[in-house]
Amino acid sequence: MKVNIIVFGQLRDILGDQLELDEVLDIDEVKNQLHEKYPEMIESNYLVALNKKLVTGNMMLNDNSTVAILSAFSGG
Amino acid sequence: MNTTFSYERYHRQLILKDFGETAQQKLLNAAVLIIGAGGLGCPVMQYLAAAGVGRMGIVDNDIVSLSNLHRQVLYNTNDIGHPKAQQAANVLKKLNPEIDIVSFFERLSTQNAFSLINGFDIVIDCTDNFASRYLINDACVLMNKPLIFGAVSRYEGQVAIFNYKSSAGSIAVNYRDLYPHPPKNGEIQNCEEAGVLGVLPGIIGTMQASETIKLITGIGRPLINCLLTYDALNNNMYEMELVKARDSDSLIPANEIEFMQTDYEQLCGSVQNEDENKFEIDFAYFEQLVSGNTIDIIDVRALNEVPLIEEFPCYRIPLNELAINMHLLKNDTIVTICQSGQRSLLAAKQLTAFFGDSKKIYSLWGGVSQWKQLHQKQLS
Repeated sequence: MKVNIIVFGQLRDILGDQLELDEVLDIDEVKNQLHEKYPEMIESNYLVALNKKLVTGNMMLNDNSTVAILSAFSGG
Repeated sequence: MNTTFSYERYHRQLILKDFGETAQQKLLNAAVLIIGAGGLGCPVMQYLAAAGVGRMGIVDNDIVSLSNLHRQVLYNTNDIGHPKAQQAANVLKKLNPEIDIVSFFERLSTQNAFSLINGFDIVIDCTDNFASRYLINDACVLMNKPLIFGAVSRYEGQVAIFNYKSSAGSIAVNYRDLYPHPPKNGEIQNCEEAGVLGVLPGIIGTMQASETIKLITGIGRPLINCLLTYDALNNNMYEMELVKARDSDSLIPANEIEFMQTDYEQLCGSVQNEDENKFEIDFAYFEQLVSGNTIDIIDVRALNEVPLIEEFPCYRIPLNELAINMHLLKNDTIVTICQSGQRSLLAAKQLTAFFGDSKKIYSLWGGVSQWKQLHQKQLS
């Protein structure tokens, strides 16, 4: 199914502000597809949220789910 | 601590519905520790002092520099070279003489974190590096202190309240639930490398101040277990709910002793190797050593480098001649200095290789140029 992905932090340099993925069933597949397409993000420190809730393991997606990817940052 | 407050000073918030004298008294009774007196810290300190938070601690070991002024709005051009913590306290005391403000011109470390945090109810993280952020997070978990988190990069900012249980039995998320492990060195740029829009820490710091006031007074819905991300370029606010991650608590030191043995700089890859940490001393500790008078200080710069040091006796031994002059050093404590603190670190390692554990060997962090600036301001 199709999923919208919004991106925050320095991963925008790699992924852009937002993107769409087709034919993904869960968060693990989202990560795997992104890592395959953008190998430079594999080493990156980011968190994933599904429909505005932190995902700490894997989660199934629904149609038109929104996934957010947030890089850690530390500036002050 | 004051037990009365000026009605006129706080009138505009006293007349707010749901605020009133009760909320004002709660602010007056509160003690908050602000760690980092930079871009985030300035608005946090300014608004909390203005709002009447009764006791504020400010921790920062940095001095004001010109490149700070585009976002660190408590300071002005005349403050360059002064310690931020003390300068901020001076400004805030004038802003609100009714509250207690105490400044700590110290570098936050595992050695002083517990004693610094101990006297305060709430900690506000306004630092600018991952090592400090993980250190503060872990200390707050171990000490059971609520943590108001804020961070900025480029045009974006994050705000959250960690480690706060709104009721018995509820969960308290901390930074390790979001990002269990610190990023590797160089993976994420800091503001110095990535840049930051000047107003952004102003916005995020003001949000941190607002969340602090809400948490203290119990008004509204604070960002407990929520992370708010703000994007200044398109005015996008993204708020997400946080949950406990499995095993995240196992990453936090089990107790104070384990915490004190944790090397956060090393975990966050902010130093090349763990040896470097033990050498570096800050200005405050350096001044203590100088006044103690039983140390050898070595300026390892080349002989033609300025400014000259006249404030204390020191050997002038360029780094490349250090090895043949080690016999000159008689005292048990040695401090190496150079222009910026880089060559002196090499010298400290070289001396340690020679003397082993028989002497205490330090390198002055920040170097002669920063120390001179600070010293002259202190005298003036």
